[in-house]
Amino acid sequence: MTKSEFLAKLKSGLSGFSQDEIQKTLAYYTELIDDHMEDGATEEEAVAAIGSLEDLLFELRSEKKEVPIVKAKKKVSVTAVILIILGFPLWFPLLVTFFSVFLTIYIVLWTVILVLYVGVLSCLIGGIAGLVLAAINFPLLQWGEGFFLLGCSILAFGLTILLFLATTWLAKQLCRGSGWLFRKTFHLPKRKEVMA
Amino acid sequence: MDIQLKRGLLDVCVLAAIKNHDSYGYQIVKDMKPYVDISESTLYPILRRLEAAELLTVRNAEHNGRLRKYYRITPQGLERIHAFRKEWDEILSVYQFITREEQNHDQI
Repeated sequence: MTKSEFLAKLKSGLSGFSQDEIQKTLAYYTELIDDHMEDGATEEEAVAAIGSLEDLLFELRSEKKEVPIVKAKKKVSVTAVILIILGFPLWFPLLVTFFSVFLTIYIVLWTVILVLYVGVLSCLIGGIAGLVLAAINFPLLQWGEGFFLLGCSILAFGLTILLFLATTWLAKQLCRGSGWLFRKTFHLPKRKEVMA
Repeated sequence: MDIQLKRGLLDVCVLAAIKNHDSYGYQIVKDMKPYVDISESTLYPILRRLEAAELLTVRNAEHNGRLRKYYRITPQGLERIHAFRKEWDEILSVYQFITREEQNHDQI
């Protein structure tokens, strides 16, 4: 069989394939036969080296039905890159604004915690002051006043403990929340539990 | 050999044939023939499949007044070879296990 005969048969056998695919396939086998001939084979030998046309067509058809193997990781397209660059004046201020607002909210949250701790401290100081005052001035005070002051001090201590526990719990929650947000943002795995 | 296994092996063989330098159909088959039973017709669908999977790229270059297609491996293609080698280590250990079982059986 000559080269042109082979190619003509191949072409007719590929009916049903897209024009692009037919062109590619013909180009491939033309190149192959030419390479064989360049390597010293005669035209007949070169065509024979390709193998049976039926097998080849069978292989191409069965391959066509199959889904190609999974595509590699998708890359960012050129259009997307251009859009990102052109959109810079738009998205950058938005990003900065978003970040600032977020940071402000975060700072405010911690300020609340701080204020609550200051409250704890003032309760404690108030309690101590009440106690000291009651102790020093006990002889001068009337019974009712003295006990009232003492009661207030104990109340202040109680408040100190309760408020301290509540605030610490809140602070812990905020810490956990920030940790979670940090991991989400940077796609980090959950912190592993340290083995005992 | 199992057809799926052979297909997978040939994919990696073709990638290995273009790993160090760009190559073309005829040369790839020539390089592979001493090691693998492959024909030009088997190679073509493989090349198409690898191109579709972006494991290699194709470019046309002029050679003696005609066009020749050169194939170049992509980073994903290199990654595929790497993954294959890792996989093969696992297969080898399974093989060792299988043959060990057989030897034990023979001894009994």
